[in-house]
Amino acid sequence: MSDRRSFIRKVIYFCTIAVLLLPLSWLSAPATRGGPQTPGSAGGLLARMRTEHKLSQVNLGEIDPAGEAFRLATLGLNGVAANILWEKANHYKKTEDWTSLSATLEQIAKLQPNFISVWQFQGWNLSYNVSAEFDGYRERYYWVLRGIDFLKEGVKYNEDNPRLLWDIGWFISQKIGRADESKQFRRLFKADDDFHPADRPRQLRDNWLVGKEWYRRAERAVDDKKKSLQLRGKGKSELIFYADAPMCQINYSDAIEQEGTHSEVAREAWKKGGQEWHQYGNRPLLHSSGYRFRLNDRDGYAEESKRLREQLDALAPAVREQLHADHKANLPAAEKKALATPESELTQETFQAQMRAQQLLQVSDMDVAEQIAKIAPEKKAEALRLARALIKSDQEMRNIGHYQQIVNYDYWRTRCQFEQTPAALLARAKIYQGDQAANDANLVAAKRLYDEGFRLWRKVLDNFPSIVDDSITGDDLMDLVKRYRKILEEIDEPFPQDFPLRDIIKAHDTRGEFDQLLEPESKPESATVPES
Amino acid sequence: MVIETEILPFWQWLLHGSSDRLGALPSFCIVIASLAILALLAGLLVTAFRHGPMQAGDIVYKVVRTAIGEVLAISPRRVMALAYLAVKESLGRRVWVAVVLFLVILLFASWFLGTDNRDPTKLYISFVLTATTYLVLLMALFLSAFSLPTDIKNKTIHTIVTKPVRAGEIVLGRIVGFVAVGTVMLAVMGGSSYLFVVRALNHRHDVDIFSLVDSEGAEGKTVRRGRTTLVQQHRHDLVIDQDGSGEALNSRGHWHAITPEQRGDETHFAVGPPRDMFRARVPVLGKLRFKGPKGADIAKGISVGNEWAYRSYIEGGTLAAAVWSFEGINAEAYGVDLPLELTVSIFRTHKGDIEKGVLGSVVVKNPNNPNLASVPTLFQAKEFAVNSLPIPRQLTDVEGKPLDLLNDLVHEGKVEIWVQCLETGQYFGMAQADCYLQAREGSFAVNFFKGYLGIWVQMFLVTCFGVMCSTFLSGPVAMVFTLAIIVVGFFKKFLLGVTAGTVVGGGPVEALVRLVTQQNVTSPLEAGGGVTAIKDIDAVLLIVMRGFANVLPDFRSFSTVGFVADGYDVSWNFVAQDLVAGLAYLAGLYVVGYLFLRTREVAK
Repeated sequence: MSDRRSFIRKVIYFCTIAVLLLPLSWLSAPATRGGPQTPGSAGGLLARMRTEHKLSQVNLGEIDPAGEAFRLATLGLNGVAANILWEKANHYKKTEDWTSLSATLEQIAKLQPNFISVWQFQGWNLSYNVSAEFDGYRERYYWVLRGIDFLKEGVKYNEDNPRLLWDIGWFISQKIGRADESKQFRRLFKADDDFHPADRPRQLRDNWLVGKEWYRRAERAVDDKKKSLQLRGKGKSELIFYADAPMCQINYSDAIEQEGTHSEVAREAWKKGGQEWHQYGNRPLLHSSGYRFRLNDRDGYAEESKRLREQLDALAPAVREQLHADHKANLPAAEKKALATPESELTQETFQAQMRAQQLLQVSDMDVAEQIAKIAPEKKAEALRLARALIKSDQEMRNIGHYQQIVNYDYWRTRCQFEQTPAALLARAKIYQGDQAANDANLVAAKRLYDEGFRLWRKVLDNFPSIVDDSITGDDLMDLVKRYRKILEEIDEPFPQDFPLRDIIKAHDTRGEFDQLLEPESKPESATVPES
Repeated sequence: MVIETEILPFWQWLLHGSSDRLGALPSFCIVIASLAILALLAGLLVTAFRHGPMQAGDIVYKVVRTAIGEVLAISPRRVMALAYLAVKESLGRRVWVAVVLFLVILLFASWFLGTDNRDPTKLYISFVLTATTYLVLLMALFLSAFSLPTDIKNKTIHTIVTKPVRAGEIVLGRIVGFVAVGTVMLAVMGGSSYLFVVRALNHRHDVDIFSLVDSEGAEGKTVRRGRTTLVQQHRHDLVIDQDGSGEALNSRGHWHAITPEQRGDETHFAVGPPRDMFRARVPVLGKLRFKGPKGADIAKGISVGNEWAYRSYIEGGTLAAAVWSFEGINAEAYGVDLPLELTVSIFRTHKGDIEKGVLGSVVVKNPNNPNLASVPTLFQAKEFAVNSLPIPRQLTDVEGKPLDLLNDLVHEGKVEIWVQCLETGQYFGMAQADCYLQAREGSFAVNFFKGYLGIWVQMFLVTCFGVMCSTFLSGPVAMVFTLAIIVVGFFKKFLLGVTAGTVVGGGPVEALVRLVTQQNVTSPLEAGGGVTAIKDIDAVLLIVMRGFANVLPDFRSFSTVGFVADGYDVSWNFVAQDLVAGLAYLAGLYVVGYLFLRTREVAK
């Protein structure tokens, strides 16, 4: 009886297995290649989905026999093994066992080679966290490169993954070029024969240029190979993604000038930076609301708005002014009073009232169009059409302007323009030579070189007046002015009252450090300086 | 070299212990006595239930008397005969597969390891020792846990118990046999690992001729500086003298000698094999104490907020110092110089001069007369590296008066080394094992052997536990039980932390509640009716856990992988402690195994 029950049980097991195999074969049947006579098969559902989403190993990148063997050896528990290894990696980091940490990270990556976050997280760990644990800059540089090599290894298994390619670009450009030890890192990077390919000329061994190469690879992966910037639902803004390569060229230009190159090489570098920035401005970028725009289109929209506004105002001249006057006349008493209050006498209350007044005084294009419709009904249709077009154009201009501000588009465009002028190049060269002389304790020569440099800067500012009020350039120039002041103090000379960059001091000396040095009555709005 | 638990001298370890732990022998006696009392009580209780209270005492007395007689009367001949049978059984169960598996792992190991690591020697040695440990322990587990139960199940045990052998001899014979098999396997694994490590890391460079430039060397002589070719992901800077001999300087923990080689009319430079790649430095450790910023004695230095509080820090530009006291300093033990080696951790609160290391000083002082002190020797600290600072025999004091190291600064064989950080706002981190005198260079092969000896002790313990468990449990259960002992043994520190309350999250029940209800381990358990009950149950369970944790071996403490991989000699003192601890477990488990086997019908 017992034997019979055991037999029946086995038959049931067998039948259940057979039944379960049917959906399994439907789900997991592998794809087959077709021969000359026979057509190929797309395989089961899983095989088709793998093909559709490019998830099979051959689509992702290189297949590593060591990693495959490693995964097989875990008998399907590679997730558990990765977890344990991750814990171990944390332990090794805590106990400062860097050799074991780096070996463990490689093992984790071999277990899960297509898990992009592992490469990103641990690459960052090596280049940023572990390198900072070391005191010597050479050791730090070694660990920065270990992180970069780790990411490069990730790219082997995940070809054309834009996130990893972009990260490599970031590490090479920003970590090497912006760290506290950037001066030493850049020097080591240039001399690193083992990092650079043999055919890379020495002058191109610059971290910003090499970083740019990787950013461009990331761009090609997205543009040509249609790889997604999304990773687990999180994306990278195209505005930021495409800005990095041209910014590398700009940073390169800036860096070589800081290191003493002010020749034709620097001019060409800035020129190229300007061209690449302009190309970036022409690239269609994805707006958060789903449409595409170009950063350079803002100027076009500005002109369009100006033209349309002129047309609208031409339909009924002086309507806008009249509306403004009406609004002003109808202002409540408190707001009217606040509007007449001088800036220096404003209190918090009157300031708010002044803000309200300014809002009430605004005359919109639609107000003008509606007013035109009232006084000249035959022009109503045209006026409303122009007003609607103006609203659209202004909206586009604002949207693009907002995006431009995120990447500081106008600043870098202007910077590239003025930095390549002979006056700016020479000004930078003189200031650099002045610093060198100051370092050599030749303060008299340093002062002379600084004076020449500031006179040249005056020319640059006169040619590009918009940068006087720009805070970034202003702060940079204020740093130079402060260094100049220090030199003067050391040679016991007063700060010159005819200083060429008085307007810069006026605009950017927020702490009033120069109030005592410059006589207020002699502060001109814009200094004019005789030709040197 | 990181030593988190101080290694005591053998006799102190055995008899006296340290301030926070008892000597090994008193601990052993206490555990054995406690277990004996517990066993007696349990025996009395069980016998009283089965045969009545009147006969219980008599039966227990007889059992104890017989047991003492049988346990002590071991016939080595019979034990060896049983051991021989265990060896034969092991071979029949194809234990050699573990060796083959290990060799296969070695064949493919270089796929995973690579040589681009900063310290490939450490990586390779750690790998082979760890892989051997896991494989051998697993082998010992399966072999020991299934042997007796299989014999009992197949009734083949009757072919033995019908012979004139005692139960204790069966237990001991199994242990000896399986340990013998494990020893041979370890020997094969050790030999092949040694060859693997040495051969995989051996390499030669060439001199990169195009990199050579003339430069000024020591004493104004012209030398040629350059670098070697890239091999195994690294290269060395090199210096070649006028006679063509030179040195490829230290990189990745080793260096190469360069010798001139005449080939026809041309002189070439031959770069030799790696030197100092496989090391076994014999360190003489001192006692560390700290001085605070105002020069007063303090228990520990400053914490700079590291999660790992192994090192504590002294403030630069103040009177803060780390003071090591060394003993046994004499002319016979140390030749010309006192070979001081120092590892420091650096913590900067400001960038300082990034091109240079933080400046520190070493002063040698007479412990009996602090006024007798050498002029400070300055050094630029290297982090995560050994700073070699040999102290010369002839020194001067701050006034320039000559001082003899042994005659003026050493008092009754004792000397003090004061280390200070000289830069304000920067800190040096120190631990006791960070400063030592390198007595001599030991043999790497011998040190490698000692590393395997540590694994052998672990294998020995697993075998003892496996055999002991198999005397009263079925094969699979014995295996799981022994595996649990191994796992607990590897996490003994954690377990003791849980019982002592230093690990957050509470006892086992509280931890389970937190896990299920997803509560943070650091916040108090949310108030509710069951909290008191949970705490009470945990209090009882923790007592049991503490008992278990104290009795079970700490497997990690037997491992010497860190020493061998870091290039430090494993002291014979440490090896002796491991072996004695192993023998102590053998004695205890042999008796327990005997008693359990005696209770089985088959062995009576």
